[in-house]
Amino acid sequence: MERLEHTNESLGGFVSRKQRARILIGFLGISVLVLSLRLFFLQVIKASYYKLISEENRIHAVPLPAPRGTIKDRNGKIIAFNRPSYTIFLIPYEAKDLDLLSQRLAPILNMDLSWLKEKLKANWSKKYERIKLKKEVDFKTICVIEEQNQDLPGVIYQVEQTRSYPEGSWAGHVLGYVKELSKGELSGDLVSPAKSADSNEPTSLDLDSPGKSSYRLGGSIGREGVEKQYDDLLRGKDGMTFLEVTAAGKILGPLEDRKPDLPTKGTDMKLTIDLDLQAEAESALATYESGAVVALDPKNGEILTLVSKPGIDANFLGGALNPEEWKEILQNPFHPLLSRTIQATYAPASTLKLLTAGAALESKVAHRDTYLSPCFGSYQFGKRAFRCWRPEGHGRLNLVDAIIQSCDVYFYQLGLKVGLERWSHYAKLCGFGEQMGVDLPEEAKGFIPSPEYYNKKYGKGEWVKNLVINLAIGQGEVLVTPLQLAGFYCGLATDGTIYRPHILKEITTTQGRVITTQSEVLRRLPFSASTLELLKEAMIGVVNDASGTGGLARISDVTVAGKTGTAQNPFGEAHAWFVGYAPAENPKIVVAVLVENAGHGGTFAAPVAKAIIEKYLKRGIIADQKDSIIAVSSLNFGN
Amino acid sequence: MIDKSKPDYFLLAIVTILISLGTVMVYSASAILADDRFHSSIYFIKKQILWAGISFFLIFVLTKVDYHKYERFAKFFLLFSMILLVVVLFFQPVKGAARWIRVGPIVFQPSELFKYALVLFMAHSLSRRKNQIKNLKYVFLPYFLVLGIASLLIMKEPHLGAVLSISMIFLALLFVAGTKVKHLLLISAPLAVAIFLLVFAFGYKKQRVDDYLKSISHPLEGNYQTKQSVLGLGSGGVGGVGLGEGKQKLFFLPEPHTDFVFATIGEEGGFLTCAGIMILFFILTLKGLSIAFRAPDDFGFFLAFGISFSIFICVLINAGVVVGLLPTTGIPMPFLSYGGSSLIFSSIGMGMLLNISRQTRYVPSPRVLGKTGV
Ligand SMILES: [Zn+2]
Repeated sequence: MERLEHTNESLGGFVSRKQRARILIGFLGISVLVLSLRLFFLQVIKASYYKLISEENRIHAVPLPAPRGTIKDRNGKIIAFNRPSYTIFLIPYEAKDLDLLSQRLAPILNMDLSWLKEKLKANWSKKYERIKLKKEVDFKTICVIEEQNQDLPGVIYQVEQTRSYPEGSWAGHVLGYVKELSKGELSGDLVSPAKSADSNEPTSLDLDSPGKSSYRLGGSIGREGVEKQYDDLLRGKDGMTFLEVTAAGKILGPLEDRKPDLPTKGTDMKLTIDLDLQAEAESALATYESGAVVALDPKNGEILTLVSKPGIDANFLGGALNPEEWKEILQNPFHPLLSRTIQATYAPASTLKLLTAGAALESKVAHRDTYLSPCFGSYQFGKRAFRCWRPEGHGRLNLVDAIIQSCDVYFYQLGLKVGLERWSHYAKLCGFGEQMGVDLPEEAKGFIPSPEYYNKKYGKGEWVKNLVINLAIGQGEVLVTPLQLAGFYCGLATDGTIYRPHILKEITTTQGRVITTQSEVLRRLPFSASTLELLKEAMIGVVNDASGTGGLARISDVTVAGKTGTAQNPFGEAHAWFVGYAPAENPKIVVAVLVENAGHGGTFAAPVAKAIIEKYLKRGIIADQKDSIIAVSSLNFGN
Repeated sequence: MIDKSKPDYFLLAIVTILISLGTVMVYSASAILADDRFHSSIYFIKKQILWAGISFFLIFVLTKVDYHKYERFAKFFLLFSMILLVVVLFFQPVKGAARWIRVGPIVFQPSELFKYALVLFMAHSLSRRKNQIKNLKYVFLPYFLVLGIASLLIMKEPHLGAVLSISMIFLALLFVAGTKVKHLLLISAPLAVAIFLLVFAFGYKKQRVDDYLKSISHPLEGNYQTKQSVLGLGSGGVGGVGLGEGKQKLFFLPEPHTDFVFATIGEEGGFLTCAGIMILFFILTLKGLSIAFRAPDDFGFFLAFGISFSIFICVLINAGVVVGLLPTTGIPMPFLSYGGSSLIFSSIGMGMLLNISRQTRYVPSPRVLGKTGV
């Protein structure tokens, strides 16, 4: 080389060119090395990490909603099931001309689709993600869409499960309803819109509690009633199917290497509710605007009937309600969302006289033949006159007759004898003022005033003894739920045992095992056998004595026992009460009837109770014979 | 003097392998996309096959055309391509960039044409000014003027990637021609300042630059394309998921068949294929440089050098983007990416290179390089 440099000038240029080229080749070599190392890092060292992320990238987990458990009444009649319904979706990507499409679609679906364009503009990137246009579209509309599918590109329909309640009118209160979870609810503060003006307590769903963690956006949740109470059981477990999707969400098909998790159907359940009896109670209340009926089996606490008027249709609540419809419900003066049987409290009026009587007997301030000052239509205490409901008075009565004729004057005096402290004590022992623990949501506690309460309210020693006068006849500040009253009468009807009222009779697990709810003794009345005996005699008299106030509940071949009540209502007509049971000698049913703003309990509530009792006991006889009838028919006509 | 021998079949083989592999991978990467966009999975591949055919034809023809014939058109090509750089600005921008000229069925990037026109012009010019190369005046004028104007025009499109690749080829040619290093620095300084100002002071592609800095160490936190590209490469592993089995092309990876076809190759072919391709390109470049050094004259040297180097710069930039070391630039992978413009220009370059290879001597020996060739 050295020699060459000397020979030619341009040769020097050539050598230097080669040297410079070597530098460039070195640069190229280093670049290739860097790139290869980077590739090695990404594709060999970090490969499994990126592979995992890439997998997640393209997997779209689609929930497979679990079919909700079926709900049946005690006789096996279906009262809540899943009905297939059509839902219309739009795949934006396939709908080329949105204006034209919404123009064509609007009359078919009978809805305004102007929001569609805005919505699509907002997230065009999700053009493969279907948009729900309308739920529960009828078959006729589906046919129309099917016929015109050439003109409706991107419009598809799919069968979804819709919760359906054949007995819509009362199911809203007893069964509740099912509705999709919203974003806000998922994030933690579930405030049910189904709150009436009467209740201020927010219902909060504890999403952290075990079993509830599986809630997902768009998933459904039971609201109110049985659907809410037993949501965990009814809901089942949603499955998942894994689809391969594109970045824009277009589904390419099921993921081959990942099997779907199949959904587990919710638990089927049988309620203690008697559908026929429920219908009977409904029709017995038909002429009234508002009221409540509770029927219990005193032998085990099973809730046979639970009616709250005005009723609310669960199908309606579970459907797509618009804000106007909600407003209408919330502003309805009768508060249709309120389940009166367990969530509303009322003055029990004379139905509570049996508590006062029992307390008096137990504290030995009175006995059967205690005669107090005779009734001349009112009772003077201090400066104030307390009226009896019967202006002409009842004259001189013993305790039993005072109950039968519901003499207020007698009970004013009896109340004074018992005194507030003792009265309040016995009321609490009988279970008033606290929840019964029924398996339905948002049970009200009611209220029993105590000396401590008045001390707080008026100051110690600042209140007068006469407060107990009103309480003794179930007026004043005492408040009970119809369910509590029915429960109390269960104790009165039996040997004093009150079972915890419950609505769930049995469940059938996914494995097919039937689990029956065990009846649970809630409490025993603090009354001795003789006290109960006396009270029973009086309650039989109320219905069956010529002078009794509950004559309209009388049934010819069954002994009905009970007590009427007429709760003073400052806003209008009195609320009519009747709580009773039958047959008196072997009680099978306890019925509490409340008719709001009707008038006298004996006139308005007693006939309702009679209709229910009659229906139950007479049909009960038929039901008892059913097995043998079926056996005979299969012998004779079975083919 | 000239040894009319056979072309460099080894180089031809590498190019054939690359174009064939590119065609297969373009099909694999684009079929689903094509079906989605045009309801025809062969929409892209049928065009690519046509272009591949044209490319092979051009390589075949140009191998036979004496490269010296281009020299007289060098200035004309340069002027013509610079006019097109102005014209392109009046075309409808695609995705915010006016990079393409459409005349009937022909769609191409004038910046691509300019790159080869510049190589041709510089080969012509440098071979004549060999003795003045150390003179700053001759370096500044006309080269810097040409590059400066072209860079500004291409920036206007905007196409920063093209400016970078052209500048690198330009500097490499001047460097190898023997320009003083301090002169080169003097030339590149204003260019660097201009780019710096554009990027940072005026916020041009600032987001991309931020994304880029982040994506070097955390590729998944950078921009979307880089993330998807790296995921594709990563899930390919050592051996790849298999031809046609890649998932990133399912609309996760934008442009799976064009600028990011290397990511698709990496996913389906794995590290081994990627490394193999890098080595092929490296050998191709070395082969090109070896042809340059055995070229019968300086024009041939600079032409062969410029062509080889420009191919390699494109590979470097494209692969750098795909592996997340460079910000997205819009430079395709030569021979592999979908697109007629890139493929045909690269093939024209290969045709020229093969013709030069036909005129080389097998034993490089120091010889007096004449001012003219034949
Ligand atoms: Zn009286």
